[in-house]
Amino acid sequence: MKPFIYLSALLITAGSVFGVADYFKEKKNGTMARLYQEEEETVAPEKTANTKMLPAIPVVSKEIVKEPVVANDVKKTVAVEKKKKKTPRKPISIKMFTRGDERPERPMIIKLPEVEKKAPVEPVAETVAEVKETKEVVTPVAEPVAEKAPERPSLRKLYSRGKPPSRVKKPVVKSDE
Amino acid sequence: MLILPISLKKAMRFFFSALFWLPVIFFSLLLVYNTIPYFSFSSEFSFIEERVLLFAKPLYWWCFYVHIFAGMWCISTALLQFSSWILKKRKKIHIWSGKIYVFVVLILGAPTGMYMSFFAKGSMAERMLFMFMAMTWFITTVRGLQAVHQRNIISHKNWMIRSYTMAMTAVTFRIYHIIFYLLEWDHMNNYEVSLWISVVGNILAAEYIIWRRSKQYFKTFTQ
Repeated sequence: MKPFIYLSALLITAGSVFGVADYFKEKKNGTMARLYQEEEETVAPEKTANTKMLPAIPVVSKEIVKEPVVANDVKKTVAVEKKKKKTPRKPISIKMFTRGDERPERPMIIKLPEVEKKAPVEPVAETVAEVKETKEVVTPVAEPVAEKAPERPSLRKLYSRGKPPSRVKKPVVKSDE
Repeated sequence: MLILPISLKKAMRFFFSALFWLPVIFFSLLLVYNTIPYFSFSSEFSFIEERVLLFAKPLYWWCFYVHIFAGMWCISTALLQFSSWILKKRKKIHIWSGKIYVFVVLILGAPTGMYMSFFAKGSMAERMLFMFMAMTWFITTVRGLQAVHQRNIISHKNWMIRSYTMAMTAVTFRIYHIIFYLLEWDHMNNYEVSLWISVVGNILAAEYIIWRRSKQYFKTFTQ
């Protein structure tokens, strides 16, 4: 027990010695008087500062926030513009969808309204470049013939950029089964 | 099963002891609960914010955290010490919590409190009061430890009551501080008055309890 009490006495003595030393050190430096005064000084301005700063802080934050907002808006507008470009459906001309060299030699009879109804509507905007390169083939105007035109591969398959839509796929799966 | 005392005298004693201990337990646990967030070591607490210059010193920083750690353990273990049921039925709990109490007071709480008292808020009188508290806390605990080693249980009880009342100044100070705050007192006046009342009031309360218990009151200081 005695060593424990001596140790504790030593510690409290050390505490008081360090306390005295630091106290006089602070007093020499002149910081002793300011230890708690700063709090008193800051308390008063804090109240005013809060009222003044509060509007100022959001202004800064708004500026910071605005940038991404603008960026988002731009992105949105860009996205919207793209969509707008895609959305208007151009009238499908038969010339654009001809197969060029592979076209059948026989003159075709195409009933325009029927073809337009059957032909699937797909985004065409990006195929403009390809269309420009394709040779314009003028189909000879032929007299209406009673015979049916040979079956052509569907336009959708030819011009699809990826997998065909599920509507087309389903019957294929069924046939495999 | 809890068998309540039948006689009116015993019932009154039970009622008044409950009236005393329930707030003591509540406020002690509240103090411990409020101390825990400080161990996030954040400087956003108002106590730390108003002592920025002091907390810049590593020694003060260490002393503060050691002191509040010691205070938590001191107050929570001291609650177990005054239970007569624990003393009779579970003596080991009393012994071990007593050892923890003595260790945290003598090795951690009192030395750090002594160092911090030189930079306490208020005038020189308040600093002197804090030094007096640290010394009294230390001496009363040492005397209590010595008394129990000498098998002088009555003296041990008396000294430990004095030690505990010094520890409880942290609790009573806050109670007075809140009361005076509600009475819209000036901050510094509130601080100084509640500090003096808590220290002097606790000492008087301890001496009154000891005086009532002992036949020869003045001998309790020499035993």
